[in-house]
Amino acid sequence: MTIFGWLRLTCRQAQVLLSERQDRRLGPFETLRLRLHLTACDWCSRVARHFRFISEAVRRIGT
Amino acid sequence: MDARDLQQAIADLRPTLLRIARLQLRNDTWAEDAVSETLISALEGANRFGGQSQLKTWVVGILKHKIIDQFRRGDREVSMEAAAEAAQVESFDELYTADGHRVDPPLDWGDPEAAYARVQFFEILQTCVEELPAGLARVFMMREWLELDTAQVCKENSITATNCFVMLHRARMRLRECLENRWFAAAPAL
Repeated sequence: MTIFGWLRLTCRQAQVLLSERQDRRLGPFETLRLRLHLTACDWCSRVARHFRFISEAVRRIGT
Repeated sequence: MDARDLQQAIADLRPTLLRIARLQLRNDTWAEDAVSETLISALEGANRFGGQSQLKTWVVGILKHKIIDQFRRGDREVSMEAAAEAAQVESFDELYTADGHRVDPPLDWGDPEAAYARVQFFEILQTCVEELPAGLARVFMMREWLELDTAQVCKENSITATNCFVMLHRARMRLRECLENRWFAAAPAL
């Protein structure tokens, strides 16, 4: 496998990491792979914004 | 606000508190207990409410502590439910192609923060959370609403960290779809 293939994430994998990064510190390799994916994928960048928004919105319940 | 008005304002929060407690606890008896204890604490401590924050925010802060206490009292039941749901497989296959890319683009939600000003948005958000399976909702709300760290959430639910991450991911994916379909795709006038 090429280095590019090794770094490549699918949207499915990226969206799992987008969720997990809200709950744990990602490792440097995971962070790199996710950043590369988000740079190229507008759809996953949207999902990243949606997840952050959902966290913030839930924290406002009852305030 | 005089003492009598403050007591009445605290009592008037009961329906709101009950809905929030049910959202988190998924057990009417536990929710009633947590809300009753919250109201008693708030009424007893009303003279300590200095008005620095909104009354509702102050009382909801008390409710959060009571809910955590309630979890700890009923932790065996909670753990079994969460563990059972953690074992369920949910792959979201319909969202992805065989090679792992999304089939359809998620909607652009524009300026989603504008929704904070809309009471109806929070109604829909709470409905979306209510529709999550009980264990999933509990784990998600412990993490996001009670703001417990992941290790505490895993411990309180007796689930592994891996299961915890999987459950949180499922909850976020379901909530994302639910909010997209019921709020953002409906394009309410903001």
